[in-house]
Amino acid sequence: MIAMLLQWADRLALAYMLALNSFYALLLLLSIPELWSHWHLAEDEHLTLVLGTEALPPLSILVPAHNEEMTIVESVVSLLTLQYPHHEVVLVNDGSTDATMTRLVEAYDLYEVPPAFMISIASKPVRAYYRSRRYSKLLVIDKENGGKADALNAALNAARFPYVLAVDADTLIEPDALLRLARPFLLGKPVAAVGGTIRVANSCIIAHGRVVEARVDKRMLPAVQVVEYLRAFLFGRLGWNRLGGNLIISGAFGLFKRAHLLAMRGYRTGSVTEDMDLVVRLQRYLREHKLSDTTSFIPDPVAWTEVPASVRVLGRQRERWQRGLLETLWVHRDLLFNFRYGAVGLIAYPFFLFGEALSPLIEVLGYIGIALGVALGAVDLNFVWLFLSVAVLYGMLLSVWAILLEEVSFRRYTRPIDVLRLLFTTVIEGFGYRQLTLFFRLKAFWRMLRGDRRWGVMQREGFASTTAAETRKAA
Amino acid sequence: MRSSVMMVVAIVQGIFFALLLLLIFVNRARQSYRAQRAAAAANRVAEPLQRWLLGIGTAADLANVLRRLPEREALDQLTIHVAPKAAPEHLAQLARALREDRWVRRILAQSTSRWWWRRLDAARLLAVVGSLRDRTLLRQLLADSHAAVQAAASTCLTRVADYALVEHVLDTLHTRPPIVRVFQLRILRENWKHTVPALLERLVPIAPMAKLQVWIALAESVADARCLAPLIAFSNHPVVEMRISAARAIRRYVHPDAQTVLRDMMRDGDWRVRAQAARGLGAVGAADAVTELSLALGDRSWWVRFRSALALAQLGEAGRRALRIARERPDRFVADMASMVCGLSDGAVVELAEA
Repeated sequence: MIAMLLQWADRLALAYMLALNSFYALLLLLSIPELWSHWHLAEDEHLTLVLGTEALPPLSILVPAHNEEMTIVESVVSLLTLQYPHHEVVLVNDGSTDATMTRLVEAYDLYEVPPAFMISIASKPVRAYYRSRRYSKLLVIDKENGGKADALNAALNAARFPYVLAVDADTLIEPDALLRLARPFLLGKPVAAVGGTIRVANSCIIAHGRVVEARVDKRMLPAVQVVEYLRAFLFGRLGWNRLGGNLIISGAFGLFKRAHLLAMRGYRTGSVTEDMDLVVRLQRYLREHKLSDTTSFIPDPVAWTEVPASVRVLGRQRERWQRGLLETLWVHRDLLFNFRYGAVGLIAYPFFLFGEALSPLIEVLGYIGIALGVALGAVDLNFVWLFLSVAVLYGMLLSVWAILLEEVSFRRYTRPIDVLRLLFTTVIEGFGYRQLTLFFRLKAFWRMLRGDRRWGVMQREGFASTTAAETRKAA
Repeated sequence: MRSSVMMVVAIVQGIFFALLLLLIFVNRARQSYRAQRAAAAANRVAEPLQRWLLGIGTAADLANVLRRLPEREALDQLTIHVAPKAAPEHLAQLARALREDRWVRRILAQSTSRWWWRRLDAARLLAVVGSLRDRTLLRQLLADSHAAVQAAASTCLTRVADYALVEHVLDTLHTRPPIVRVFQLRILRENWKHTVPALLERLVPIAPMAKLQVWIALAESVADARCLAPLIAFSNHPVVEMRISAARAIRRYVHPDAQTVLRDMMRDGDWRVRAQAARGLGAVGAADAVTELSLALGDRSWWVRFRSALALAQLGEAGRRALRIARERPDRFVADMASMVCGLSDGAVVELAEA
């Protein structure tokens, strides 16, 4: 009886792996024409020439900041000096307990202005609004701490322009990223949201808030995440573009139509991952109101972020992501196989539920089943080895494919040593890192069941200040 | 049985993995080879280009060098490096020298390709070598399904536009994606000799709304004095979008008639028209409009108050004085807006007013 059960579990695991991997293969195939098309557009100098014109919609950059005294001044300068004809920066000091606000007032010659804004979404009390005497594009909101979503809601109220771009204060945006992000508008497509690529900034050469040379960290943990990000962005999200069910636009770099966000009452403050929750709600909103606006991902606008370099911080991050995913899927459970929501209900939601959210449980059950099967002699050991080899090799294939896509298209990593490092990480990812993240994701189930809603502190190392010599060398 | 299937899958994956690795390295080598080839092509073109630009060499010499380059390199050199440096009359000489070359004809023949990037290459080349006899091809590329091809083809208009083609572009302007419209507006502006008469014929209130809006935008961008009177006629148009477009366009005309009509538009029933009119009064420097703008600081619309305050700040000392007085007014909305704008530097005011 037990042997039969184990055999069934074994078949189930095989079928699950086959279905999931086939879907990844489909995403991979769909990503190719998307990437090809964007690469051609990005390369076309005619488009580049007119990017800085009145054809672009004015947009407000929303920047929530909490205890960012070390980097805030440089971050704001880099946002104010982005190449874009009409943009403003709405920075929210979300109850920082350090000198964030003082530094802003000093650096930008801020003066208090009356609250001449229409408050459409409730947020924690605002202490004061400030404008800069030097930069008309800058508006600073000083408010009581209410979390990222609450800060974004306050910024959303004060934003003047029809499109808003939510970015993290510690995200480094490439100078032309906004222009590239606006490509769908230039091509005349109705747009509800657009997401760009997030890349790993650890160990990159950075000068004046800009990444001047992309590098792969020598340490394994950040290096593995470079490949993870490439995989997620270069074929995962591009593939979803074709399927029409993009459910993730990174909260660190995503452009949204402000009117839609206001109609949806902004960000949901109780959410653990407010960005995914927002996109799922946006997809619902668009379909419920029969709007043809699209949400899409574009690969060439790039923002750089620091990823966890220690196991402890990585654990907090991955556990929070998994909790956020579970929570969002639970809140929107009525989407599952719901014809009313088209590709979102029929493809995206089931994939995120079975292929992403529940995968740690299925994977760990698979490990237990295999171990028991081998112990009881119900499963052939040779088959187990082959099965594991195929699973690991498939993961490596996807990673190498992502690296190849990067290499034939945008080629940010110019040094051969970085490519070799990336290739090396694809080999070791399946042995240790995958199991580690599996553990953190399983922990999320436990904390979710306990009703734990804490965010966890994301300790950052900070972007290493690059010396003048290094910068020159990189240039 | 299942083990043997797994074994086959594993072997196939292994082969595929090795192939991908190989592809990565081959691609690196190919990229490096292409970079070298591009650099070599640039070197070969540099000297005849320099000589030709200085009037020492001939267009035929340059065409000879381009002819000997690989097709892709020749196209890139011509469209990226040569064309932007040459004056229009120089370029016409080069176009004549190149026109019958096989590589040019081959790329132009791609204008019917099913792949848009090939049609794009044809449009890019046509923008350099095109002449009046290419009007049919140009019309075909302008009607392409891809915006990038339309945009590239639009650049050709500077070289081959005649009155009929300008009329065609004007009549299809409203159907174009924004990027193409920007290109075509720029080119129409450069071709103002053909554009203004054709535009004046069309700027009449009975024309279709969608077309009128882009034509008004063109009149704003051309800023030719002859367009002011037709624009003023739209200030009383029954459709609010027309009045908004007209108010926005009139701000480009520094003329007493423009000031008068903008002051009238400050009394419009729609807040969007009043906001644009206020913005216009600031842009044209209507010093006589301080009273209207001061009154508008108490408007029920935030945008009208905002635009009026910015306009006052643009009107020199008289406007600034009005703002300082407004700061003390009992109406909180007036005082708040005046306080906010009073703190801005002149540069910041201009920046905000134009955004």
